[in-house]
Amino acid sequence: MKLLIIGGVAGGASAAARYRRLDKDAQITIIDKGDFISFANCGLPYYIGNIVDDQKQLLAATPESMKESYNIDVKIRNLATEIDVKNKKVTVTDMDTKDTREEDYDKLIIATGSSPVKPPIPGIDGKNIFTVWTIPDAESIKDHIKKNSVKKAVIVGGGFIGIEMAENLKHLGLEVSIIEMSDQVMAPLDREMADLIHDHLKDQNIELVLGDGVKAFENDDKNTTVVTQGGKRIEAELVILSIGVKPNSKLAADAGIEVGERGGIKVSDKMETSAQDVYAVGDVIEVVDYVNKTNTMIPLAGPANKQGRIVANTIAGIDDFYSGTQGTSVVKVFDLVACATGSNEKTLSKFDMIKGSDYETITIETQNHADYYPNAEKMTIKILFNLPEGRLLGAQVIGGQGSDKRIDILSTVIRYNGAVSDLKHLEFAYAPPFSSSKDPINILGYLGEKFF
Amino acid sequence: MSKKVLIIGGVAGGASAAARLRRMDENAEIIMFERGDYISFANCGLPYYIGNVIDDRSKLLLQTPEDMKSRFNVDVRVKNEVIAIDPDSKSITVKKLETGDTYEETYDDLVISTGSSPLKPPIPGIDSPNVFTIWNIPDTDAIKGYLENNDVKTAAVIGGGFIGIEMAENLHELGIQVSLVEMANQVMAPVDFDMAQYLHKHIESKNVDLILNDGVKEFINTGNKTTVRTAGGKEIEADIVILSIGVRPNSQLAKDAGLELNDRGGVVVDDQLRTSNPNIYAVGDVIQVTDYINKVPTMVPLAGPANKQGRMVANNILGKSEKYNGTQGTSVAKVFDLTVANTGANEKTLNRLGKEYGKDYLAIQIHPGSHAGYYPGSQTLNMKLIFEIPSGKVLGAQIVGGEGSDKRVDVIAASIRFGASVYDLKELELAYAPPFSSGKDPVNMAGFTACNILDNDMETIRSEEIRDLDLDNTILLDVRTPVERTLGYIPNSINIPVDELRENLDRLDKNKTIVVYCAVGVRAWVAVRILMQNGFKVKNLTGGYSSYGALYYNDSEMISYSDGDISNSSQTPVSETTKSAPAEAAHPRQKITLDCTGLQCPGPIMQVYNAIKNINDGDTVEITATDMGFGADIGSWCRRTNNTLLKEEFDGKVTKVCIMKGMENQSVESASEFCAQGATAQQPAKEYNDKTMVVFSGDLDKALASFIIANGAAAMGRKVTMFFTFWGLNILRKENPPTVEKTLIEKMFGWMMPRGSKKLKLSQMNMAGMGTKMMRMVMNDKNVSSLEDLIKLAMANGVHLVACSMSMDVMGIKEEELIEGVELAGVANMLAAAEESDTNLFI
Ligand SMILES: Cc1cc2nc3c(=O)[nH]c(=O)nc-3n(C[C@H](O)[C@H](O)[C@H](O)COP(=O)(O)OP(=O)(O)OC[C@H]3O[C@@H](n4cnc5c(N)ncnc54)[C@H](O)[C@@H]3O)c2cc1C
Ligand SMILES: Cc1cc2nc3c(=O)[nH]c(=O)nc-3n(C[C@H](O)[C@H](O)[C@H](O)COP(=O)(O)OP(=O)(O)OC[C@H]3O[C@@H](n4cnc5c(N)ncnc54)[C@H](O)[C@@H]3O)c2cc1C
Repeated sequence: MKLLIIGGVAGGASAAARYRRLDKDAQITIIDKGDFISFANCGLPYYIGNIVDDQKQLLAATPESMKESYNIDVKIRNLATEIDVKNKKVTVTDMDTKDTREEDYDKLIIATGSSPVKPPIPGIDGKNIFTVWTIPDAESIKDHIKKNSVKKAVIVGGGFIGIEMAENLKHLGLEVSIIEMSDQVMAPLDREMADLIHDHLKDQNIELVLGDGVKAFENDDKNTTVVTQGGKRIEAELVILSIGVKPNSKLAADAGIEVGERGGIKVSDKMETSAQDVYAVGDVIEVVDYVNKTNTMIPLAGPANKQGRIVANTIAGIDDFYSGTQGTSVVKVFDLVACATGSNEKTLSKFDMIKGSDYETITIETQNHADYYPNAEKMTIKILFNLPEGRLLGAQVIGGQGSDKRIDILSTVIRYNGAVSDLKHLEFAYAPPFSSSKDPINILGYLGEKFF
Repeated sequence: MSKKVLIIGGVAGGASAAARLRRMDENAEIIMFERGDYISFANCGLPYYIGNVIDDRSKLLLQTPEDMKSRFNVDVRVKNEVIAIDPDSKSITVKKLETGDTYEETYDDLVISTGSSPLKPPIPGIDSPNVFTIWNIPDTDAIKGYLENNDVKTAAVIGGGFIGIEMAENLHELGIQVSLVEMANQVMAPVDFDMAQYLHKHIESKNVDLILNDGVKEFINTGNKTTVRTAGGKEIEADIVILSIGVRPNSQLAKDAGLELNDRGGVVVDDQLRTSNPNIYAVGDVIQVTDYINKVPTMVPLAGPANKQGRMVANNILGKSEKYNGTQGTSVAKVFDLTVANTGANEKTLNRLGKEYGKDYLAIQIHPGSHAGYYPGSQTLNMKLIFEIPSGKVLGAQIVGGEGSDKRVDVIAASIRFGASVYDLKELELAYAPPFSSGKDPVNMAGFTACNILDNDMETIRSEEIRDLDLDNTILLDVRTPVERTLGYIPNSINIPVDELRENLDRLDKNKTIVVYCAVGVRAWVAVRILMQNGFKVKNLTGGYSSYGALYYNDSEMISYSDGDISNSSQTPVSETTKSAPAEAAHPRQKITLDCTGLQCPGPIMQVYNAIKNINDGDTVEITATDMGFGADIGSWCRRTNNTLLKEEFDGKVTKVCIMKGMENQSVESASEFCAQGATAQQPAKEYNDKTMVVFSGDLDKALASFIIANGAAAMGRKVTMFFTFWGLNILRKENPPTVEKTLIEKMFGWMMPRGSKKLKLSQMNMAGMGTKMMRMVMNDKNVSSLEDLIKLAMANGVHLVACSMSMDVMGIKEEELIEGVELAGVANMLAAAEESDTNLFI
């Protein structure tokens, strides 16, 4: 049995390690075009900001350790260029020697992830313009900042990577502007929740340009001027492009494997693609929106890891399935924490759901723990639920410490298809440093009663 | 017609009921009776108010009777005690505590929320003036007042439940030496013994004297002090005693009214919180609830359930028929730097109900980090998950760990409410970014691990079973690296690191069961899979050595130590390097800094090991780590591996230690300077008054000063050891006054410490004012003229003068050259003395 895996980071590495535990004899090979496998991409912004100071800390495994601990062959700097699903072969190019060879497989897992979107904006290839996706990306950004004693950065795109970069660059003492095309940062949040983040970013002296897209980058010897549609010009020595990602699915599509309209590989709940013996996991696949049961793309590390495990189980013949992604996420925004799970109002309106008749929301402002205990922090929680049943559809939390706890609880309730009426019965751990005797989640349940 | 509702008890349950009633029914007549002075206060905050964590008393009073009246139009009658209920006439008798008058009040519906009171068994002396319980504001005022008006240095807390522990912590924070006495073999009854061991170790590390398995027999009061005499014959003298040995429901009133009680005195209610009388309801600590997991009656005195029940009873009085489905007992407490949290059933309860491990349920332990290890500040969560077999239904969870412990327990608590199984836990989609969690959240990890067992991927064994292991038919296999065994290993285990296992399978006997362990269970799992697929019968020790070491941390028979190959790595065993040290010392001093924050055990120790391996004796390594175990273990690790712990600091999150390679070495003092510790005051393990001085300077003024301090301390009755190294040795030489050796000293400075040595300032010897004080004392007493006189005086005062044999070699000083009465010894000796000292001076 030969298991071939393309892509050796979150999804691919999880699948490989798990499969080895289930089958000691299989030949397992990972090929990855990058210089590293199994690295913590989520840590990259913090590495750039020197919060994480050692590159080695980001490497969960190396090709050597994969070989030693798991007897898995890892070939880095090897690019898969073609999949022949009929003859079960993958064409691979060694990027150093440029040699091309064929690797055959009994089972193939595509875990090629996604790549940052780089639209054809004039000047986008300027030397001051970077994306943050890999360790080499992070190294070049760090280098660039050091070599040019960068003082000013523009971040294009206010998603979680953009926000994390803003925080980390600020931490390095840079002046930072964020340009975001939509009228809010952090798309998983609804506008009024995002406003709390907007205020906070401004408090941190981040220049925030909303509702305005980049028209061109004007590069001179030293600087790049970012020119927006609205006519704004911001000059900087560093531009970070974080305007979204696209799945690396061309390889699969070219092989005739079915992909969805946004380019995600279509898979069954066992991670099987349309081709026999070919599986796919991670950012590259289309998943089921757990709440609305529609197809969607949600590039997050947690789901990629879980899918990696599931695909290994599937190949080993263990019954397991993936039931969809809620999109539970959290991001630290300076002193605030912003979290979301499930659907927001923007999503619901896309499904033509109308507030008041199809769904309702409750928003509370509360404290993370007993306010008589020192350092209580403000927290705003919004929940969305359908009518008339009250099934929880989504939640957003913005606040200080304990925000991630509340989103995790609400995510858990959504997983169990719980309703608002369930919230008041939940029994949480209470002592003054941690919560209140009526936890905010219970309060939401109480407030929800009036809708039913 | 609106109802007239009477409520007895005005705190958690009662106040919630009153507020809810009013919100639901504007016209109801609501009267709330409270015998105490206050309503709706934050009992849970009381210990923190005593510890000054909460500084403002008024913050504890969440609502005053006036607030209740104006906001909710509730007639609140404080200092009014209900003394009788007459269900037949639907009336109660109330006594005004201020006047002693009684009156009656009728009701349509009655709510009993009388709570519970601390147990005060008839132990002799229990009514002594400095023995307190803590339950309400007056109790708290009394304790606080006592602390303010008396010089309280020692406290005995009786009972190790969450209130006892919170009190121990808060008193400790006030600088009071605390003893904690607990009758059971563990503190924090809601968690099992194996989890409580983490707490015990941590509590002991805070210098709290923890006495388990021992109950109080007697309190003997003598004025301001009370001696606690235990059944085991221990005597603890304390300036204050806090009694927190449990509570009993305040149900006498209900009993006298003929309402049904259970055998523990809890008021029996139906699922709508109605007592045996249809117009009388009861909520809170006073009632019997259904154990949500086991569906048996139980008593769970917690604020959350009391509040929920209060609200629900109001709804039901107004005709809603809501059901209370039972209590899981989700709770959390801060225990110094750790958090302990739990939900659902523990093993003790399951066993009491006749459920058996392995037959009815299983329990696993894991030790994930609170968030991504590479992001600063990740802390270990020691997690235990209990689940039913074969269904996998989650029965309970317990966590002792750092930040985020409460989050994971809450997620599992919510899952239990939805009847979840371990299969659900692995599917939960929890929020991940590096500062908050990992791609696989600890709750997912617990699910994965449990599923691996259920799906028969892996059989497990628990640490507690190791004691009775049949070693004739079992092989204990340690798959960690050899160096990790310096932190301890299971006696009789053999060591084959996981990465070498495939090549060493022939060393294992297929007829025996192989119990595999690593540090936390992950590598062992890899090994288990390799072994299983090769036809071995295997069991994985759940939680690995982390769980094992915690369970047996205070049982020396159950832990062996290896000295690793640290000494080998420096070619010659440490004891033999003594002679060759001068050559080694010729290397320039090196200091390595290691940031091990976020690394979990054994990560930090591995880093230390690797660093130490590559440096020379006398070089130093400074490590910062967040793994709690690291701080706890590093001292003994150093001792076992013959390295020297120069300093250890803990700021609540990060442990900072400095280690010098080697022991029998000349350069403790210079190494310690390297750690920027000109004068080091080591944190003593216990209250010690001894003084240790390391004199390495030959400067006359410093020599004088050191002897003056030594004599002063000796005069104050302290045991003083003076340890002379290097040029300090010159002080002890017979013929020559130290000053003539200047050239040699300068020469030595040259080759010993190329970067130069920072001389101590006198101010640094001014240990908390002691130095000056003592110096003055001696100066006045004696007319100090010569160093010789001071040396003689010191010897007469019983000061131990110890010459470092090692540095004598280095300096070429012979024993004969030293004055009479000087002992010769190595650095280890000095360190032993230092360990028992409260002050160590490097001069
Ligand atoms: C800066 C940053 C911060 C992030 N922060 C978070 C966070 O806080 N929380 C969160 O949940 N998620 C976060 N993410 C997203 C998360 O990292 C991804 O969702 C996750 O890594 C996806 O895993 P994957 O296995 O699908 O793909 P990846 O981890 O991207 O791995 C795909 C691999 O496949 C290789 N590959 C692609 N094509 C080929 C080919 N043709 N031949 C050979 N190799 C190929 C790539 O080189 C890459 O190494 C972050 C991502 C980034 C970049
Ligand atoms: C120091 C301390 C710390 C705590 N910490 C926590 C924690 O961190 N988390 C947690 O969940 N729980 C904690 N608790 C427990 C929690 O406070 C109780 O479970 C909760 O208060 C119970 O509510 P109750 O309404 O049943 O009773 P109580 O809140 O005790 O209220 C009962 C009231 O009834 C009054 N009363 C009794 N009899 C009569 C009568 N005959 N006439 C008139 N009035 C009467 C009493 O004076 C009392 O004020 C703590 C308790 C204490 C004392």
